[in-house]
Amino acid sequence: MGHDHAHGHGDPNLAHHFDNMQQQFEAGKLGMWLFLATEVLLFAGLFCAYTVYRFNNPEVFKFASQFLNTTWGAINTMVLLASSFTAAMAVRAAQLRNRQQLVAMLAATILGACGFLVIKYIEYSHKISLGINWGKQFHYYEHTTQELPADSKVDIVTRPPTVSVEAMEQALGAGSRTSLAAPARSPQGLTQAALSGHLNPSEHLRPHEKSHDKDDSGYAEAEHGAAAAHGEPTHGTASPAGGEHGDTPAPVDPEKVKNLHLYFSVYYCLTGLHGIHVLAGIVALTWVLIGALKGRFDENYFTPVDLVGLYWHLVDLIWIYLFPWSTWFGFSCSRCCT
Amino acid sequence: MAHSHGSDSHGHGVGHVVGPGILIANGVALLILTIITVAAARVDLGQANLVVAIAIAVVKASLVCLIFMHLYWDKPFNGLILVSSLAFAALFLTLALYDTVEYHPAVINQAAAFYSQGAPTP
Repeated sequence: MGHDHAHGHGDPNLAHHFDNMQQQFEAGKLGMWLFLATEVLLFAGLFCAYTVYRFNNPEVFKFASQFLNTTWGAINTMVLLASSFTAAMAVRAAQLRNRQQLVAMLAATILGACGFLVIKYIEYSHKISLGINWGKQFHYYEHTTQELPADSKVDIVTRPPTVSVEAMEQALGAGSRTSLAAPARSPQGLTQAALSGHLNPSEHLRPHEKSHDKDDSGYAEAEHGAAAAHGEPTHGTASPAGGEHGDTPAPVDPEKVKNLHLYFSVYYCLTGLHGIHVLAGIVALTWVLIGALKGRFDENYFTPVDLVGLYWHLVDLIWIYLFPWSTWFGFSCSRCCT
Repeated sequence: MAHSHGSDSHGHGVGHVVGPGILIANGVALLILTIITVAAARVDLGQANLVVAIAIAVVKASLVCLIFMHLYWDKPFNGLILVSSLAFAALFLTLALYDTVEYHPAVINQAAAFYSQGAPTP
């Protein structure tokens, strides 16, 4: 702006419907920003679903977040930020006609994008190997549902793979329809246990320890009522011997986590849509890289580099908001809500 | 916005050239903020955890937009497009969250009554 408007007259890259390169550049940028606005709104819908579901079902999120790996999330954030930096450097290199640096920076950006997808693949394949899928493909509890009595109100019951059929029958025999015996674990081992497929949800899902978003007496009373109805103590600590079913049982309230598959549906939608954007970014960046290798860009025509860079920064931007979502649910929420 | 600020733009070409120092400083700042996000999540601040996480994300997003995406040096109209999209997203989220948690006591009480009276056994 404010630059020499005579710039670029007769430039072979100037489309005939533009007065000059400056106008062409700014028009392209404006169009890209309009597209980015629609991208923001596209993701806003999914973020909205996530947020509404989180506030309506805090216990599901508290439970589900144990399956999210914050370390990989943090590494992925760093990878994306680094590639965002190289994308910005690529634009600068294009503007300075530094072709070597432009190619190097674009290649580094593509490398970062691929690294991000590799880490996502590791995360996804681990979840899928545990049966933690989306919607009807969610098989984490499948074997348990088959053993439920026909008249059960509970369609999905949490039960770690370590619980024997005997323990379950004992629990069902004791008249507790919605509570199953399960061995207790140390809270420190929870995340690890979750990742290795042996999470005991009972440790942090006792009715009386359930999360609150606000101190609502009606809410609390209802919980105590529900707990009492199960014949479970409404007070106590995570003592392994605190249950009613012998050795180390702890009450499970499967009602609270039975919709876990919904959480992971939103999770896969949100991270999957972001992953598709990363894929599209790789395609676009590769296209720009080919252009750079052919020496198509100069200080008056670097619009493709700039616009693909803007797109790539938006992908990074969305991840910046996705990442604290996972840490928020992964660490803080499990403490702040109890 | 002021396009002569903190950069080595020399006025050649159609766009504004951002200095490498600014880009590097911005990248480092973003990495540090990411570490702070992770660290802050491990400290129990009660409900403030959420506020801290969102606040850091807002700062990071602003840095990316202003420096990496050139909005600081761009025509304000591009920034206006982004801000208005965020405003509509916020409106969308606010209206959707309006009645969230409102029905909890009633629903939970009903569920508790249902189970305590021993769900009609056949």
